[in-house]
Amino acid sequence: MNKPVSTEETIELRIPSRAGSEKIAMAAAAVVAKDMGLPKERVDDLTTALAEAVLNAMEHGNSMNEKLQVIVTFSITTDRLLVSITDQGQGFLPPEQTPSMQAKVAGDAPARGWGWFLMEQLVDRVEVVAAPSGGTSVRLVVIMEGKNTHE
Amino acid sequence: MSKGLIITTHAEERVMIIELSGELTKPDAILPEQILPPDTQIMAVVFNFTAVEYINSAGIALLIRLVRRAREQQAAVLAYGVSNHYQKIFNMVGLTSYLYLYPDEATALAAAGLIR
Repeated sequence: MNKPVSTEETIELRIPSRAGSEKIAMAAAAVVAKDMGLPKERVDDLTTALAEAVLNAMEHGNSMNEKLQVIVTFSITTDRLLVSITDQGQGFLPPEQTPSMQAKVAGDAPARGWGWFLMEQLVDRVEVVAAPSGGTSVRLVVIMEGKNTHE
Repeated sequence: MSKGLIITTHAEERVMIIELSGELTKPDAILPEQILPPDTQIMAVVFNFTAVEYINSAGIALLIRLVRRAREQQAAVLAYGVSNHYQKIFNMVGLTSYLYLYPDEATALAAAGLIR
């Protein structure tokens, strides 16, 4: 993928809102990220963050309605990878508070609720935008180290 | 699409050894009470993650529920066979303050007080 920075390549996947389907996106992300030259640790981080974003879109965006899809778009340039995860639901707001393991282990908070936290920890930037279709797009950004960024 | 999770347990002395295989992706894949009944007299729970291929946030929730249950019974919770990536994830969410990681079975069981 040795091409000018201004060139952007796009790959799009459409997957059903069915638990387990997020692994399709993870497999694609691993191929794309390896091809870009990301080290294994960052590939693993991206695939985990992406899995959480897709599951979030299935559950909170599409209410696990298998007729609704999650659209995953990889936008690739030489200096960064942007992965957009878009649901076809009514939109949702990300959580405002950081989850507390202490509260969860104590039983003072639900055990679930780590997805958004993991996304924010594992990639360089997480953005949330309203999709033109009415759903929500979560954008995961991975910056290639040592490359100039244009965003 | 989902490979599911296989859980096998056995007790040695007062240590409960829990072998996990497959994917941790469901918070309610098993009831903690099934693994650790209220009348169980144990001092430690040891998880073997060697055959675990995939863990997501729902799987972390299952682990939290299991840790919570063990702590209610004053049992220490240990684990081995966790990949470098999931060690990082467990540390990131703070799970390693409650679930202690060891590099292999021998050190985990020794830490649990079980010498083979």
